[in-house]
Amino acid sequence: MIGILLGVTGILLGTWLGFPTLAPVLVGLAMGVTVPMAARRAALAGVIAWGGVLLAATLRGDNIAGVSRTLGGAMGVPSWLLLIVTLLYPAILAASAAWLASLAASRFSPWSGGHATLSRGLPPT
Amino acid sequence: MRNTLLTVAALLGLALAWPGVRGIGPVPPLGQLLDPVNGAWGAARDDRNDRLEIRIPSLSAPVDVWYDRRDVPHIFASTEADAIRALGWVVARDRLFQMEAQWRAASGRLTEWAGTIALPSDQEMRRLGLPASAEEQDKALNTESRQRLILDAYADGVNAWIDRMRPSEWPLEYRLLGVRPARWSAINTMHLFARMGWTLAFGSSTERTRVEVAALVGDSAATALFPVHTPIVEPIQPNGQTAPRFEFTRLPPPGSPNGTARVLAGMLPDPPADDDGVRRSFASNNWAVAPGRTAAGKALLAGDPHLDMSLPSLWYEVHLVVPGVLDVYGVTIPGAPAVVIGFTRNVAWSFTNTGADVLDLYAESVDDDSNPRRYLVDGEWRELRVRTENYLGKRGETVGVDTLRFTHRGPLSRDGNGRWLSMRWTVLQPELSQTVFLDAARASNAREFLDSMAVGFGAPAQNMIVADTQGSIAIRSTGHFPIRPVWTVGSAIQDGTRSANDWEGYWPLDRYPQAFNPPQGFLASANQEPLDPKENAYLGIDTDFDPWRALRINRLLRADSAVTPETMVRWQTDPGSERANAFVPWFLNAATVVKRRGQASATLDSAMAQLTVWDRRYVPDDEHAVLFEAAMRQVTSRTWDELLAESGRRVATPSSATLLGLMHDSASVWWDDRRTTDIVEDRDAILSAALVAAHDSLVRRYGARSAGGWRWGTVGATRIMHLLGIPAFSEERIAVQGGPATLNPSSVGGHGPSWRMVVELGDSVRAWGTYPGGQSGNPASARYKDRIPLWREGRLDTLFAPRDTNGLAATLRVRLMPPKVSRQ
Repeated sequence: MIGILLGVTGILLGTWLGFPTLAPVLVGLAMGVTVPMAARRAALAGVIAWGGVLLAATLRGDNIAGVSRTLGGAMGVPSWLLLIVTLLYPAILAASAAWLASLAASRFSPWSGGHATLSRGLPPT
Repeated sequence: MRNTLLTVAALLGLALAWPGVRGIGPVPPLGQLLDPVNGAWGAARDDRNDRLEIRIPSLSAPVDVWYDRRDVPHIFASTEADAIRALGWVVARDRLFQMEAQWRAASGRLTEWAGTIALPSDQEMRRLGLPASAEEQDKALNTESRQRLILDAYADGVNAWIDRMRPSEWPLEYRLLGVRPARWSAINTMHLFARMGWTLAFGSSTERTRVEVAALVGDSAATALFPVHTPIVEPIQPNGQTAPRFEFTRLPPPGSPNGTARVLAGMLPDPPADDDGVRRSFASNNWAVAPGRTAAGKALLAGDPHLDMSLPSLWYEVHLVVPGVLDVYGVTIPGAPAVVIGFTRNVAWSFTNTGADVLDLYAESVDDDSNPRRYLVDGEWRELRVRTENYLGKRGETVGVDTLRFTHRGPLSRDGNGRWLSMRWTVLQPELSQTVFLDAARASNAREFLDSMAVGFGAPAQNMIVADTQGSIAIRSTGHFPIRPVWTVGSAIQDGTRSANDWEGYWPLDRYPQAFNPPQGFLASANQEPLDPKENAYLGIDTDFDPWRALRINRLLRADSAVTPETMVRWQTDPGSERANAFVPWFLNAATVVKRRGQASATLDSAMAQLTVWDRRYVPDDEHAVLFEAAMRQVTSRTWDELLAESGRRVATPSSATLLGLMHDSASVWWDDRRTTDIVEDRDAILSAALVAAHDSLVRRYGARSAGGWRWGTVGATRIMHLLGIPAFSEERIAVQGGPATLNPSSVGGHGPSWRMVVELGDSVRAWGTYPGGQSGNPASARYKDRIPLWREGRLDTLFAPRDTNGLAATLRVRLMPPKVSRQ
């Protein structure tokens, strides 16, 4: 849980600082080597981080549905798909980075037998 | 195996980072686009119900900006420069993308946004010399002058907004294009005015028309088909008549092709695709009524500029108040430091385009046909001014290079291996004061207003109508009209080797078409020929002007001696057509004659029956106007077959006024369709055949009339496209009341009434207005196109122009503050 919260915080901070693509990747990499079941949790952190911002904006009265409709129309996609893509974007980046990081960690771990990998929830290879 | 698949998937997922950061092709960087904190989702934010305090570095004192319920900012400042700073700020806040798109288009720098796809558009602007002209004006402006002060103040305001703008506040379009907003420079305003000149006064087709037509049917016929004066006389400057005058003359038969013209025509660039003779260029209406002809005994003015209808709208509504100096309400063009059309406590004004021929072409002799450096004038070689233009791409790379050459007349160009032509054009030497609108807004009466405009407004020439609270009405076609040597004709290409062929100056003010408080008690302009032909002045040729709307509005004005503001509003969308009134009887007569000849058909009977019952009004539920319009296209096509080039393209189309004149000559050889070799058609044969063909084509395209597909509201629906042409940001299929040649010609292309305004000038000034769009430039905002329904219905909002903030129910209050003074 703490890992996810830290992930959410990291993605939010990085996004706020203007690194919307780099932040999920870095957070995913970090989670990959430190958190069990990193890929799933990193994905969840991505969804919560960006989804939370959109939810907060909606609660504040921002016209999220209107933008979704307008921008979706401009890009030729349904408005709901734009929302889904927005949520999936950090999730996919973070999960991919986390998986690869955890895989690398298991291969190059100083501990024997892929201990690090197994301990983080990956199946033995 | 599962792990391998997952790893591959993860690698692919991570590869998403690339388009996320860099974008792919036209797709913008996804990360920046989808970012919920700083990205496109920021367009969802709405801070209208708020109070803001903003600091603008160059401000000298606090400025209050209060937005009313129609989102119109009322700016209360203590100096004119501060008011303009605030104007720059509010317009940038709502219309930043539009401002940048327009100055980029005007300065030929769209490639920096869109790459090579925008190169042709940029090349056109630069090759016409428009950006170069703006740069010269900018350099010539004294750094201490009031004009410079105002331009810089406006730029300060725009940049104050840009500098404090969070990335989440960037307009959506920047996200889609994957570009960043650029800062504003004073020269951008000059680019915008130059672009406006190109829009309203670029008419190089006059010379081309005459040459190409002469190449086909000889000089005599060309002159008759495209006369210097329109045969329907209802001029802007009243001529004492109580009805229009028709001066139709018999057209001479087609003559032998002019060999010289044929050679020259082959050297000219291809013109844009010709239409069916219905004027599609920018048009406008304005009229004013003296107190003696209004119900309330107060002067009335209606303004209705017909321009390109776009989203965001061309116009932005605003109110500027500087106590004791300025109190002006109306519409500004984003990028212009002034209210362009509007009213004050003393006067109200509006413009229509004069459409005068202010561009001449000169055939030049150059020293080297492939790479000219000098040109010949009066037997001596003169150096060409050479300028290299670099076109940059999105990442600063060069995507094109042009070498531009200029004679003393203007830019030199040619098409392919054609002849070198230089161009003299008033728009390139506009002598436009950047403060002319601000100066005129200080006028206390109609004459002062027009005199002020005459001093500072050179191009594009406008028919400026004005009314004042003292009961005066006036109109003047204001701008530079060339004085040409008596032996030259404005519609012909001149010999550039003789300096004697150059313009000798511009018309003096007393020659301008104008009228002050005419006995008839009203004034009207609708792009008709400004002067009665008896004045013997050249301002353009017949096709440069449009008589139909002028006929209509003058008919309405003559018939009503107790005009009210409500009447003025209703007239702005009057569905009646003088063009239909003129032509329909000829169709009906022709059908009767042909039936008498025993050539009746069921289709002709049906078409005839429909035109007979038509009330000639273009209302959305009407099902007959579409038949008339199709029949007019057919007549045009079948009659002017002599003007078809070998390629099958019609090189030019005489005006519908000329066509009407031809109606009086039933056996003219022009009626014969040379493509039908076995028969010689007369007028009635052509008209009835056109009617049948029109009926058949409509049935093929829309089905039988009874199926409901002929409704004018459907067929004649208009559209208002976004500047980038994005359908999701546009409004399409808008059923309007009005059609070609009516006072509301919205259904013709994407042009139409861009700002409707009616003002009553009495002890107090009352005004009404609207435009097809909304104050916000944000496509996701509720204020982006909220005015379109009202505009479509032909109704206007009441315009509220308070003297101060008292009584102003603001939805947003912004206080713009000067920088803090640090304490010693």
